[in-house]
Parts: sequence; structure tokens; C-alpha cells
Amino acid sequence: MALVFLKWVGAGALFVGTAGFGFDFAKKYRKRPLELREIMTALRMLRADIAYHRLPLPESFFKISGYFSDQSGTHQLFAKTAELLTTSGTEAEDAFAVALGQAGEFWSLSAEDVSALRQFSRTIGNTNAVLQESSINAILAELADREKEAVTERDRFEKVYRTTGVLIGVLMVVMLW
Amino acid sequence: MSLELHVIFQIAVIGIATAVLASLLKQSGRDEIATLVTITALVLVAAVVVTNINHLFTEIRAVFFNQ
Repeated sequence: MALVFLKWVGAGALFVGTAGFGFDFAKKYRKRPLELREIMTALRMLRADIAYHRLPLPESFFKISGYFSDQSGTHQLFAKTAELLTTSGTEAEDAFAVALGQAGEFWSLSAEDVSALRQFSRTIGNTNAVLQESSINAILAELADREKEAVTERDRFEKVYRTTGVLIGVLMVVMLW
Repeated sequence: MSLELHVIFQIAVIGIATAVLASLLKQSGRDEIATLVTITALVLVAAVVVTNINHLFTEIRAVFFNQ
């Protein structure tokens, strides 16, 4: 009797494990377009702050971080950059790059997305408002393309990974029963 | 002689799971992985069937030769 119970528990654990893996993979595809949209929104706010409100960068970064939930990568990126700018007096470019590295664990962006943002970080605070605005426009256009690509990828792979996880779980349980 | 129904269910589940997985993979444009999955399932089913046929032959041999 105990053996049968143990068998069921093992089968359940195996199934939940593989299904969890599948859902986790699917989550990355689901989250990427959302996160790209979030970053685009944040960059639009930054553009407005630079071009119209003429806010100092730390203040602007701190304000923008408040619009996003604490667990989001965008919040982490902007909050960390604001923190580095105010406390350690780091250059805006370096602060953004460092924050980009640290926010990595909070989001599902691809390495190419991050490297595009890193490329963009070189222009923050280094040029005048007009040039910064045009560089933000350029990164926004690039992120919009990436967002479209991310949506296509999500439509193609999200369901596949989810179902694969569940089916592999079922298969393993059936094979080992 | 026991009718080992679980073997039939096992093969059926493998078949259904593979069919669903292969069609999903084909839909998402990963045809080569779909083929790979189908072949893997075939090997799995073959392994199950061969084990059972081996069992059958051992039984027959026991009936006719070990008296």
C-alpha cells in the first residue's frame, strides 16, 4: 500500500517537474514582448523628460522607475541607474550599463535586446538634448522591430513549450510506471 | 496467463502524445524536431514491443523445452 502511494507521489512529482519546466520556458516567450513594451514606454517618458521637461537625469530615472512594479526589469534598471547617479556620482553611461547588467535576472529579454540597450546607453548624458532625443527615437524604432519579432516568436513557441513539458511528463510517467 | 493491458495503454499514450507533439512542432515550423520526436517515439514503442515479444518467446520456450 505504501509502495503504491509512493509510486503515485513520484509520478506526480515527475509530472509537475517537467510541466513546470515547460511553463517556465513558455513564460520567457510570453514575457519578452511585454517587457519590451514596458522599456519602450519608459524610454518615451525619458524622451519627454529630456526634451520638454528638462529634468536632471537622476530625477527623471527615479520618477520613471516609480511607474513600474518592483519586480519588473524596467523598474530595476531605472531605479538602479538613478541610485548610482545620485549616490556614487557615476557617469550616466556607466550607471545605465551597470544597472543593465544587474537587472538581467528580472527579465526575459534576449542577449541582442540587452546589447541594443547597452549600445544606446553610450549616448545618455553625453550629448545635448536634441541628440539624445534622436538617439532615443532610434532605439525606440529598433525596440519596436524587436517587439514585433518577439510577438511572432511568442505565437510560435509559447504553446509548443507548454504542451511539450506536459506531454514529456505524461510520457515519462507512463514509461516508468 | 494475465492480459497485460497496461502495455497497450502505454503504447497508446506514447502514440497520442507523439502525434500531438509532432503536429505542434510542425505548426511552429520545427519540422526536423518533429521528425526526431516521431523517430524517438518509434524507438520507445519498439523497445516496449521487443521486451514483450522476448517475454512471449521465453514463455513458449519454457512450455516446450523445459519439461
